[in-house]
Amino acid sequence: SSGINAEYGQHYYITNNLSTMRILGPKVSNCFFLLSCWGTIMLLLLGIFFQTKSVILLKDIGYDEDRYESAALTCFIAGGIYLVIGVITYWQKVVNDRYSALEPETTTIVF
Amino acid sequence: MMVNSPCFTQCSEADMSKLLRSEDMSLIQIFLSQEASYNCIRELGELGAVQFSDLNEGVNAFSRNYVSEIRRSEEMERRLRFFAGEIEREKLPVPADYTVPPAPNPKDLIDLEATLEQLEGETRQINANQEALLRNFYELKELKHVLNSASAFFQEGAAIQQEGLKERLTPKYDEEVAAQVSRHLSFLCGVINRAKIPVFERVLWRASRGKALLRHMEIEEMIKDPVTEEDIPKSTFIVYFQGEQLKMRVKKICEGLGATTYPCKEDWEERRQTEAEVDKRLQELTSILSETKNHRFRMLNTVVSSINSWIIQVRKVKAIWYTMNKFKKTETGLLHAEGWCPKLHLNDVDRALKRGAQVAGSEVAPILNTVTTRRTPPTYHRTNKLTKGYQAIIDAYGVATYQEINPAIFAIITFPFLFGIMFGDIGHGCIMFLAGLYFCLKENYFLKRLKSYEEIFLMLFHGRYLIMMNGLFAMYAGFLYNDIFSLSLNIFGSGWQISNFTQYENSTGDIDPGKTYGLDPATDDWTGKPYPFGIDPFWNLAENKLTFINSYKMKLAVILGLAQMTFGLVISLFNYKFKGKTLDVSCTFIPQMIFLQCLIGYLVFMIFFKWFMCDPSTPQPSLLICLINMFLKFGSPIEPEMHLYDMQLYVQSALVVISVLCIPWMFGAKPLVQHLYPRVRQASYAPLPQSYEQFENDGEEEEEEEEHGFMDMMVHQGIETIEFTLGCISNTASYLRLWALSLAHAELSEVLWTMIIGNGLAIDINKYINPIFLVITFLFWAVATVVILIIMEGLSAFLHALRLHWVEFQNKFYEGEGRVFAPFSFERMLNGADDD
Repeated sequence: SSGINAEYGQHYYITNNLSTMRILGPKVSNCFFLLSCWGTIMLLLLGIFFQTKSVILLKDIGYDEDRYESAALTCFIAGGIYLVIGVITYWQKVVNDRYSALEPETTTIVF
Repeated sequence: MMVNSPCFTQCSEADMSKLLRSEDMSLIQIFLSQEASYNCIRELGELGAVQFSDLNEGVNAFSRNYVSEIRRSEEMERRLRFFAGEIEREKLPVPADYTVPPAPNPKDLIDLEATLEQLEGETRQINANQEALLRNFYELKELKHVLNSASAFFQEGAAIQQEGLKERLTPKYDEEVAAQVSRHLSFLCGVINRAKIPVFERVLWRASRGKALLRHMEIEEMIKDPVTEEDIPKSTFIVYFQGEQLKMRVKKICEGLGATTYPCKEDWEERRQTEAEVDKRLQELTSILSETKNHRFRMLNTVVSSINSWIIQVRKVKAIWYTMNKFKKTETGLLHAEGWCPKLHLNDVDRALKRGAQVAGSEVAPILNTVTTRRTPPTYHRTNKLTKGYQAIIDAYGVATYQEINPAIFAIITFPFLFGIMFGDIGHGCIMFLAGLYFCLKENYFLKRLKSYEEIFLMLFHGRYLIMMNGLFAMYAGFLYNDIFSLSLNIFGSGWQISNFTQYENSTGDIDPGKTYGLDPATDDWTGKPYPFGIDPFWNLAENKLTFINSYKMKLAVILGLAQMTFGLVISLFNYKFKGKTLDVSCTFIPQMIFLQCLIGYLVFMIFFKWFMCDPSTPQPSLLICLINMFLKFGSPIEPEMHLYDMQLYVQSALVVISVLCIPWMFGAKPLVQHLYPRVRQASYAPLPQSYEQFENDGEEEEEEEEHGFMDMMVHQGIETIEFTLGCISNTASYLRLWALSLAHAELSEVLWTMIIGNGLAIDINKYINPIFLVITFLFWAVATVVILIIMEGLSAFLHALRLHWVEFQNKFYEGEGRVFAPFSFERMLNGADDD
């Protein structure tokens, strides 16, 4: 289906158009987006600190200086995985925002 | 003197912002003409600058002036609730409209009333019509089912007549009845609730003495009850009996059990005709029903878009009438209102009144008088969105007395600072700061939709500036403690080195990981270059890290405690001078200050002395033991282990003597002076402000200054003295919570790191699986950090910092016996202020 059909599109989970494919809901995608931002930045920095062989991280690798490089590689790859998760959740965030922009905002009647 | 300076004369009073104390208030009287009153009060409600006093305090709510108007607005509210109920029943979506409409002027109000009345009438009529139609519809449906099942019943009946009795009849029935079955029977058919069938059967059996036969069949389609719209399972039934009397009895039983009977012909042709008619009628009814439903829908849709706006308008109107009920009618036909207004808003009130009178077209201009009074006005602190949160948390403990120094302005910085000392982590502080920043930047979005959030989120949202500042100061403290997620940053280069590796080597010459490393400044490990800002990162690896950090944080806590308490005492000095209580300055403030400095000030002096002057290579005296021995071993020479500096004995003895002398000074000087020189008037024992609204006359009440007896003054002063002297020690010890919480936070942070991420990095299976483990462990670590360290510890540190302000800081100077200024303001009312 091309374009966004407001009435039916909401219940389509797999569509042909990438910009309307909704896999994750708004809460999950926002939550994991924030988490993966944090994860990417922190794991990348941690990887850099492992590469510069900072002393403070010695006890995390069991006092074995040879494991610095492998730990650094682990951190970088994990950071990369979080980057991928971040991109996916960001895409889902955008798709969810598009869906919620279609529905007019409603409130409850408050006395 | 700036009298001749041109810019001074151009400044109006409103521009002079008074942060330190509450605003100057004046008691005003307003005289309004009857026609202009509604409009004027409407303007004042939008302005929100006047707190009206209730001049009709003793009058019953039902005998006030504007009771009928209030009844009318409540009638409007009732109609709006009816519409809200209907809209909810249809589950219509209400479009969000966040504009706040102004209160209607009298003409619009009448229009609104008429509109609501007409709409309600129409809606009720449509509802009644719909109900009647539905009832008709369901009856026809039931008839159709009866006609359908009648054929089955009659076939059975014919079979009974034709085939024989024993197989068909149930054992209940007599031989006699069986013989009579072949003769012609009367019958009644209808529909009954399925649940009532057993009862029906039993009652019929008893009433007819076994001479009636009941047959029933289930209806698969659920019939809806027209009123409640529930689905009720029903069955069709047919009762065979003989004789008129039995017929009446059966009819009564059917009525009693709520079964509806329908006329049904035996003849198949007639039944078919009736069925055809019923079908036609059902079709007609369906189309009429859908039309009615559409009409109702359209009706409600016209209401839905404006209902929230109407609700706000009606609330404002009701508030105006309630306020006007507080006014008195004078003999000349004017309305007399009285209230408190900040001096800086007097011009605005004047303009608003004139505007209101002009709109109403009244020739009589409203009169605004300022009245001098000795009543204590309410406390009004002008706040902006940043200071509002701090003012709220200070006011939660006690509202400042009129024009005493407002501790909230100092709390803007001291509160986040103390929070940061207890929270102290760059990473956690950064997350908190970003969270607060997000809410602050998006505040307009949230402010519009305030009503649709729960309480907890609202509390978080209203404290967004506090959260942001707390996060910022926590980052600063994190740099001081050099702690980011329990690791240390080495930005400037450490001042420590390992000078001697051999003590940590095992026999083969490798570093033995089991040996622990302790830092000792007396050895060559200390290079002599202190780390420029914060704690040296090397301490994170040291075995004696906690010994050092605990001592440092405890001393820091005492220093900060003394600083804040001294500051509190100085504020009390300013409060005394503002109120002209010179006796309090000399008899309360000075001895308190001297006592505090002699004890805790001396302790802080010793802390700094020991930090700067002592030689690390020899064991140094414990400061607490020094302080205790100062009192317990008064006069005896200083032992060599407790020796800090020469002249220590004389200094300490002098301090003890001075501080002990301060106690009778605090205790007895003031009552003595007041007794001997009664002309020295002090307002310090004035009774608590009474409720101002009780005074009948025009506000010239005097505050009574009772002459307490000498003994009463002594007792009062005695209590204060004991509180202060014991408080010096206990409050200082209380400040040690700054150390305790930061220790807890640091340890929790370290546990989470080593146990979660440490284990994640320690797993070394395969270079492809490792990152996946790390991804999962990072997820757990992040969630645990946010929930335990940021939310739980954050709340805890927030609470303790608040307590330090409320108790240890404020009991040095704060009275807190004021009442908050609660003006008549539509904005306050709509945001949920509950005053009346």
